[in-house]
Amino acid sequence: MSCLLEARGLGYTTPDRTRLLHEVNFALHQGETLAVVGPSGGGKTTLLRCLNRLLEPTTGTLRLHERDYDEYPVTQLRRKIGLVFQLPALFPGTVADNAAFGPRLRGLEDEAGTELARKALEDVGLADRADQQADTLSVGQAQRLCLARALANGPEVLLLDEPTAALDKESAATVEALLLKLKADWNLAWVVVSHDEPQGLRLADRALRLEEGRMVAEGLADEILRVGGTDEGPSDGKGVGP
Amino acid sequence: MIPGDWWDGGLWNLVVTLALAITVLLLVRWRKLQVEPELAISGIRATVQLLAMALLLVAIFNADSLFELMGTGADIWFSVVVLICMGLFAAHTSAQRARPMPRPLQPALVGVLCGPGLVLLFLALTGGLPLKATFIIPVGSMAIGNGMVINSLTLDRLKAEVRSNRARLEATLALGATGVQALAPQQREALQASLIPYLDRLKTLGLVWIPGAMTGMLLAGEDPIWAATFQVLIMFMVMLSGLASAMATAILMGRKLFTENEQLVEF
Repeated sequence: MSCLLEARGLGYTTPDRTRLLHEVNFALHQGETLAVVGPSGGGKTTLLRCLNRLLEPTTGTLRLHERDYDEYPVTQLRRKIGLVFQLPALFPGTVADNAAFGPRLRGLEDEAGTELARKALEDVGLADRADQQADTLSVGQAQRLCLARALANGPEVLLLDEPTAALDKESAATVEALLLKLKADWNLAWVVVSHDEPQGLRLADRALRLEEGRMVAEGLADEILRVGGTDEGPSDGKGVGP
Repeated sequence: MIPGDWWDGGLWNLVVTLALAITVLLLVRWRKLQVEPELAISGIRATVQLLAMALLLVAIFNADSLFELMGTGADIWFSVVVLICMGLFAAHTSAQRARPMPRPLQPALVGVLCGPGLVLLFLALTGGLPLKATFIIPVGSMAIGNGMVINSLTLDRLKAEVRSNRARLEATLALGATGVQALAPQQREALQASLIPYLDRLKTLGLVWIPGAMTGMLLAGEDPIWAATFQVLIMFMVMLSGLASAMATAILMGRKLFTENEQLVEF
């Protein structure tokens, strides 16, 4: 199977010379889910922002379909590699307006854009709220709307930054169940950042552990992650040299 | 008023001004608004600058024969140089409001000069403004002053909007929007906010305030209908100049907020 998304020697240093990410390598195939775990401040979110090109990596290369990121117009690249943030950021307007934002942005006629949005809303269980104002949703519903908004854009890879961290236990369980369903229904590649290792184990096929910006382990999820795992404990997976 | 020759020539005015300025400073200090140094320095600067400009204008008013000696258009070129210098100071002042947004001087300068430039050009082409330094400099300075105020309001609001909507901006970019598309709502907010003083002045024109130009014309015995309509014309002229300034500044500043790969810069 050909590689969909690949990072080689990926690094990011801030303009004030703080190194947030160092020598990260991984390959992701279609249909695969990669969990990125590690302690807070370990570089997980920075990695996702580099993958969506909201940040420009300072070292290394990123390739999509074996073509360098630079070969894609950045707006097209971001549509192919969607990103859902930890805290939902909704736009003014209805739930349907939010879901149709991406399709309309790329010039799809109202009807086509609405159809894509409708399907995405259906898939996240928000179709009956399409006409509701987005700012009246609960945090859990807002996070599901952000998922629908990213899906309506037709991505090949979906990046999720702590998708349940801002939610209460019940909403977190709903979103996690939804992610498992979407994984089965949409043949995408997923990268899920999570501080919750058992969740990573439930969602992911492969895992990557980041500590202080360095990749300390990478491999199959059940080798890297532990059922009762915490952020701080040692890894059971195969180590990666600094 | 206290009698005596030495009070003449504005010294009494200066004492009254000082009393007013101290009152303002005391009020600012009482409410802990933390603008005392800026206010004090600005007040002293304003006084010195205005005195210097008054002397310069008198010199210009008396320099007609010198301009004639220098040849056709000399006073126009002189006026343009003076206005550009004013524009530089105005842009520098506006740019201070924009910091720490990156490289705000160029957008502020283009904004401050383009609105008044358009209006002056329009007035000159339609014959509404005599092409003499004695007219160009005062009218131009009014337009630049207005441009500066509206630019400062625009930049200050844009900065606040971008800071408070960073997550939403990045969410928009992450969906494949360009920086220009993502920033459009924040630019619109900034422009709307900068127009509030103009709209309020327009709404209350003749009810709350009587503009100086119209008052002057009435005192000079002009027809009140003509004076009023001319004043409305000036108001819209000033508004057009201000809006053109603000739009140019908001667009150019917006471009500096994103890298060539449509990444929102940190500030």
